Amino acid sequence: MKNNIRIERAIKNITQDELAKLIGVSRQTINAMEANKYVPSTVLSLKIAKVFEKKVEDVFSLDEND
Amino acid sequence: MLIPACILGFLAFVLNYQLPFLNLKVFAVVDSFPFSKSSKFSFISNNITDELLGLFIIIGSLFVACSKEKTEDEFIAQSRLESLLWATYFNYSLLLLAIIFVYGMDFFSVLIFNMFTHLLIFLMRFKYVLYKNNQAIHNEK
Repeated sequence: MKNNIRIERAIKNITQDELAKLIGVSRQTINAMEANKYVPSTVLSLKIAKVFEKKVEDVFSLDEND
Repeated sequence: MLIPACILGFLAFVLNYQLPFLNLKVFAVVDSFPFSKSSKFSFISNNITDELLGLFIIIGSLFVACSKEKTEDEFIAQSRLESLLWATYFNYSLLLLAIIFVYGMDFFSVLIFNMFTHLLIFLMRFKYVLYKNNQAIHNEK
């Protein structure tokens, strides 16, 4: 699964740490997601999309391996 | 509690040392040795150094293993489960090798160590994963 958390973060101009605090996870989690090392749960994806005020599909998308 | 218990446990094992004041009467469900009479459900006298150390190591590692990280979230939880699975495979691989290559009374010590290695390997692996993720953060703005 691909995501553009990093880009959305740049648009909103917030750091990994601030995003982590906003959704109540560790910074490691944000970092792992941006590095495509971790696929977040549905709940976490919805929370992230909510912070960016976007639809989940706009932040996360399937890639060719899925 | 875990670290001193591990060190003491290892020393006690290597030096075969027993604290003399820990000679106590204990309740034994079963107690038997080869070539001697065995007893069931009776009080026997025994040095409890090894029992205490074993308890400390297991309780200590359970405490460390079950304590939450500062921010415990789903990613940490997943790393935890992954590490536990990895530790299980690794521990049993070691045990397989030991079964094939270790014989005699030395195999008995393998069994003693094997009681504790599963949790200890899990802890080491889990802390290593956390450490590596922390390193990844610092390489990043």
